[in-house]
Amino acid sequence: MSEAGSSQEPVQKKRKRERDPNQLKMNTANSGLNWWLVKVPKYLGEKWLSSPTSEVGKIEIRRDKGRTEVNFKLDERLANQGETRTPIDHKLRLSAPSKSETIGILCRSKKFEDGQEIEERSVEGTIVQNAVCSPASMSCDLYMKQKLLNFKGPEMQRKRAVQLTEVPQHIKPVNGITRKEIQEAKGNEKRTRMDDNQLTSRLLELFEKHQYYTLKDLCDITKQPTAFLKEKLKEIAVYNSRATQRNMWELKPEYRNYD
Amino acid sequence: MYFPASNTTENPFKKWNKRDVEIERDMSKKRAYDLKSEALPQFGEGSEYRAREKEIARKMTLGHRIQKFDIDAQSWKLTLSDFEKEGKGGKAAKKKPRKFTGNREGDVTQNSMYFVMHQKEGQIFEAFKIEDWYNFRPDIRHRTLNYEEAEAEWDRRDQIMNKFNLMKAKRDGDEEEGASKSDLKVHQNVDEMGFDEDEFAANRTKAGRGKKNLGGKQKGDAAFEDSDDGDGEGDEVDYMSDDSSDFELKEDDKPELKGINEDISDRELSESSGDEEEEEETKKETQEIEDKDDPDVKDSDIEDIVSKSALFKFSQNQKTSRPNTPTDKKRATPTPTHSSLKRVRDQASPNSTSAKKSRDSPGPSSGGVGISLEAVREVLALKPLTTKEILKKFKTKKTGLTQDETIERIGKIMKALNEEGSLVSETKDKKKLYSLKKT
Repeated sequence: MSEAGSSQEPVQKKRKRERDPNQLKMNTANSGLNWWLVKVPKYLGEKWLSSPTSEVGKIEIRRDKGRTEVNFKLDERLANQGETRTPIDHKLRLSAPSKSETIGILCRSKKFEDGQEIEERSVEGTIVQNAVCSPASMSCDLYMKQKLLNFKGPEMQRKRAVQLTEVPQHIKPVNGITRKEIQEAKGNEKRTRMDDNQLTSRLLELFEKHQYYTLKDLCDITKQPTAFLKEKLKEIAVYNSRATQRNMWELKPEYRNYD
Repeated sequence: MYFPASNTTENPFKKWNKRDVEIERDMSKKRAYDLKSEALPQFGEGSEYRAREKEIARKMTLGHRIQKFDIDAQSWKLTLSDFEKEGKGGKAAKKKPRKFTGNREGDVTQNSMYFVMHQKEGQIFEAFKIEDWYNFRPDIRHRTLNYEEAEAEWDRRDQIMNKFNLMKAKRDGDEEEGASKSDLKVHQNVDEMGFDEDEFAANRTKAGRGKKNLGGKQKGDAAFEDSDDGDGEGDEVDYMSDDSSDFELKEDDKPELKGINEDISDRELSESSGDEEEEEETKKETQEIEDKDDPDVKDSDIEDIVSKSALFKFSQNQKTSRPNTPTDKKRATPTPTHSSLKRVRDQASPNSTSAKKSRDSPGPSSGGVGISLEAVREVLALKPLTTKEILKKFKTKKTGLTQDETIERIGKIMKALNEEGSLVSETKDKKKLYSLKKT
């Protein structure tokens, strides 16, 4: 409740600087590792990610007279799985990473601590080798099929049929509404004065829920004439003209008991 | 994470496990996203009725889009300490931590994906998908010009020949400033020697602490050249501390705080008044006083001389409090002024009024001495002045009178002079200047 106390002060306290709720300390245990950065075609990447088993294929590194050849063979079952068939044999062309900058690997992992999920960051090493993976050979037929899917895919997602379960509500514009009709729609019944004690107890009840109300809100809630309600409010409540809760009513301190 | 390459061929990340590395998201933009009402309690004390709904409605009418703050979309802030833990001792030279900011770089990956692969034991390659690219760049650590300085440099851009060493000159200037500060400190220490035993003992601890701080600061400056704004703010307090209860000592410190304008005007005054050429700097002060006295001697009685000596001493005192002389001179010869002060006091003692007394409790006679017909005449004889400038010559501090009293007195004197017919007025630049008729 100390917060509420501060909000009553004329000068509101400056809000604290936001800090990252996650762990600040970086885990650098594995910072010495070396990695390859491999660019793969999208279809291959998707196959890898959708694979039910942890094994997706075989890499073959052959050193031949000072030259290194790297080939990748996709698992055959995985290649034939799903909507499209993909080539199996792939070639990896190696290249040295750029010397103007180094690329490190930042890993984010979730972990639970004190019942809260926080993110742990770690450095996992550097890139020492760049590679581009491309199919060794691709039949024209396969290629065309893939391209077709490439074009159609996004389009199919955009126009999807959804079955409706209930009739949607339409609000159509109406011509020539009169002021009287608007008033009637809002509810123009004459507000009658409530019993004095009844109104007091009602107001106290409301102020139990929230500390601050505007006069208009109270009028709408209690459905009382404004003048009458204001008279009553002057007895039990005070009007705030200060900046934070401006133009709002709150109970007089002697009636107030929040805890 | 892209990193700028270090000048060594070695992999920079390899050393990281020996260092303190901290990384966090930049949260500075969060406030722009937050709703104010969310900071308030929902129910009970301090809560407003429908505060959140009202705030959203208000924002919508103003055309804001209500968005949630996404912490994963913010840039990284990385702090990398240069200090390496060496075994258990870990006592290496501790430097300022290096800071980096990592911004996300967008790559269009419509037809390709990036994976990182790593060979584990047992000839197994592990592959992980890369989600984002971040470009880490070091935050600048050198001093930059602030707005005023940049504006000033821009104004004189045609006069600067070599723009390459502009910042170096600035840096040297900073260092010099630091040096002069330390000088000041030493000076103060010398002054402290003259304190009473108790006072000195009480102040010694304070001074010692100050000195220690200063030493640390200097060491720090040596370690890294660049200095930030507000580096010296902590030190300033030491000099501002008012431990000297002695009147004269305070006076010694004061002149450096005054403006140059006053200085110049006073010097002009003295030069115009001087009939003889003044060559030696040390003589200048005393001569000035003589010059001022000269016109008075003609029409004043011998009886006045006693009070004049008070005036003389008075003006000398003021000399120390006001920057009549350039500060350099003061620094070069700090002892002469001191001794002259002493001499003055000795002279004044038979008159049974010390310098302090006359200042603190100015009797009617001493007030009359401060603002007399002669004094005003003396002032007006030098050069034409406006009424404001005349008032300036008789500062309330010196005379010990209130502002109103001073105005009243001077007004009377001016009236008297006018009636005498010796006062001449002329208007220049819409200002009325008064001077004495030359006889």
